[in-house]
Parts: sequence; C-alpha cells; structure tokens
Amino acid sequence: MWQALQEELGSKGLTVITVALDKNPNDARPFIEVAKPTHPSLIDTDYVLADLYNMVNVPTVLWIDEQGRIVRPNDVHYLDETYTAIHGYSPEAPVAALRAWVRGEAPAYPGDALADQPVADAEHQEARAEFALAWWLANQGRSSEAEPHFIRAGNLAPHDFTIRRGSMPIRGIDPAGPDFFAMVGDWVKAGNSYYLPQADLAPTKGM
Amino acid sequence: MQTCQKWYSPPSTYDHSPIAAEKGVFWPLCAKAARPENMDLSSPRCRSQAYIAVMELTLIDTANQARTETTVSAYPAGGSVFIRTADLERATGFIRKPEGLCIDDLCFPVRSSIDGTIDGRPAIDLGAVAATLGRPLVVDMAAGVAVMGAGDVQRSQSLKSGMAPDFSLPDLDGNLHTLSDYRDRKVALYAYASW
Repeated sequence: MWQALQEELGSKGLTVITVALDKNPNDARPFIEVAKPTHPSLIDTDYVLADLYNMVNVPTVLWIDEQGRIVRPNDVHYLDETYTAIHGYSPEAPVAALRAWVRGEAPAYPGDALADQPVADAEHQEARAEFALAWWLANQGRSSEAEPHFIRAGNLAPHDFTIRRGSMPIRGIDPAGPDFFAMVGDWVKAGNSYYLPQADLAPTKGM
Repeated sequence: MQTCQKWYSPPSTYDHSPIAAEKGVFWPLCAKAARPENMDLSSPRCRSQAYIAVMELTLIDTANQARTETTVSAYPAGGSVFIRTADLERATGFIRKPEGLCIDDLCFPVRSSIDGTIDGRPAIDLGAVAATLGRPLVVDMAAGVAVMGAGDVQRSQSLKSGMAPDFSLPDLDGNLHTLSDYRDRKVALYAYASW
C-alpha cells in the first residue's frame, strides 16, 4: 500500500520511508518481499527510531517536509483494511490527507505540530535504557538474565508498547497471543488507550 | 556453610534492595566477582561490598543513534559503580577536566565526590556522571553490562526543535539510508513491525 502511494505521489515530491522495528531482518523480510518497495525500506533491530521519535506503538507515522521539519507529529495510520474491524482505523482519511498535503492542497496538520509532538519523561528514557540492556543480553542468548530488565522496562513505561509488545517476540512470547490480549485488555479496562492518534484523522471508535 | 551466592542471588526474579530499585542498579552476585582466596563466605563482610573486586563491564551508550559498546573496568561502591576515568572518554566521549565533564566545548560542572580510585588509579562515579548529564543509567553488575541512555531533556529538545532527528538505518541488503539525504522531498516516515 505504501508502495502504491510512492508510485502515485513520488513525482509530486513524496518519498516514503518505511522502517520495521523487528528483532531480526528476517522477521520483516516476508512483508518487504511482498511489497516490493522502490522506496527506502529499512530495518531497525534496536528500535532506535522509537527512542529518537518517542514512538510508543506501531504503526507510527510522521510527516517531514522539504526542510527536514516534522510537520505532522506521531500519528496512527493504517493504509489497508485488514484489521479495521478490530482497531477501528480505516485508510480513507489518512490517504486522502497525505495526497492533499503532497499536492499542496492542504496543510499537513491543522494544529501545532510542535506542541502536539509527544515527548518522553525521565522514567520513560530509563525504560528505554533497560530495554536496550535487556535486548543486548537476549541477543547473546542470555534470556534469563534479560527477562528482569524487560519486565522493569515495561513497568517503567507501561504505555510503551514498542517495549511491552515489541519485546514479546524476543522473549519467546506470542505477540498476538493470550498474553498480548490480556495486556491490552487490562490497559484499556484501566481507562487507557492502546493507540494514541492525533485527533483530526482519528476514527470515532478505536482502540 | 552459608555461601555468599545465597545472600546475593535472589530466588526467581531479581530482588532489588530499595536503593538498587530506585537507582536501577542490579546488585552484583558476590560469587561472580573475584575475591580473596580463603575468604570466610559466612562472614557478614561478604555482604558489604568489600570483597567485590574490579570487574569487566560492557558499557553501552545509546544517546546517539549510532550506539557504542565499550568494555570498561568497573567497581561497585557506595550505591553506584565507578569506572576508570580513562575509560569514560572511550565509552562516552566525555573527558574529566578541572572544569567538569567536558565534550567538545561543552562542560558540565561536577562535585569533587564524583572522583574516586580503582587500584590507586583515577576513577569516576558513573551514576554521578549520568546524573550530571541528565541521562538514565541502568547497571547489571552480575551480567556485566550497563546502559547509559539518552536523557529525556536531550530527546525532548531534539523533537521540540521541530527538526526531524536524523538517522541511518540499513535495508534488507545492508545498505544504509540516511533521512537527511531526502531533504527537498516530502517524507512519510512509517514505523511498523511484524509483531
């Protein structure tokens, strides 16, 4: 789907850059081989993008203008309808908005992109340090030593699902299994949102 | 005879002392550190850190997108961990100068209590270094690894400057792509995952 937008809007000045936050390039390989991207399609095994841009879940989309400025802050866009029934996000609004922005027909964002860009607090950055430590150990096959650090990372930043869900495949937990649904269930039941979309393109009903 | 290992190694999950939990420091397993031969392991002194010798520690610095990993000599003391001052520059780029902790033209003032010694040579309190720089430090002495992360102020200032933080990441073939190479283009940056 991103490839289709790249083909449609590339001549109008758009470059799509997709980044897979996956522990191993081979986890993302099937997705990339099906998509056959002509745009940069990158792999981020350390989740450094999450740290740099304070991403707390996937998908996360940002729009960046010709001067390298963030003009649309962290947002939740789905470009196909595979899971719309579950999460409530349909592709029409974000695709239309992207077209309008690239063609110069509408601003990237109706609000103040700088003000609405979420940032992390000290505890969250400590969580990311714990995650990095855990991942380093896990990468060496030292999973029992890594586990308490993964847990502490999640406790420090319970809203960060790049940590809480993104660590599951590393820890041998099914990221779409019962543990995941229990985690999201508890989170939502406590009055929190699993996704943090910007208001202008958010669905009226979503997770 | 009760062993030191027993005192330090918690049963299933790590058992943080209040100080350790607060600081994010996972205290060392005594038995993993070198200690004098014939030491009475049942002695209460074992529980102090008196016999935990200098250890190798892998110090990972994640402040920059290109992360660095450096092996340093470390010694836990006083609720923190000291590393050789000479190792600090190798690991983080920061140099201990009379003015404080310095990198390029920038210096952060420090208290003199940041300084110590390991085996008579200059050492520096890594926890105090992290605190001075406003950065998180997590240490697992038993596992021999520590991460000094990016500070929240550093990251927030970067994002609130409005400029998209630059990065270089590989594609499936290992070729690096850099965001700033796409100036003069509109970029839709899309992070996803297989999970």
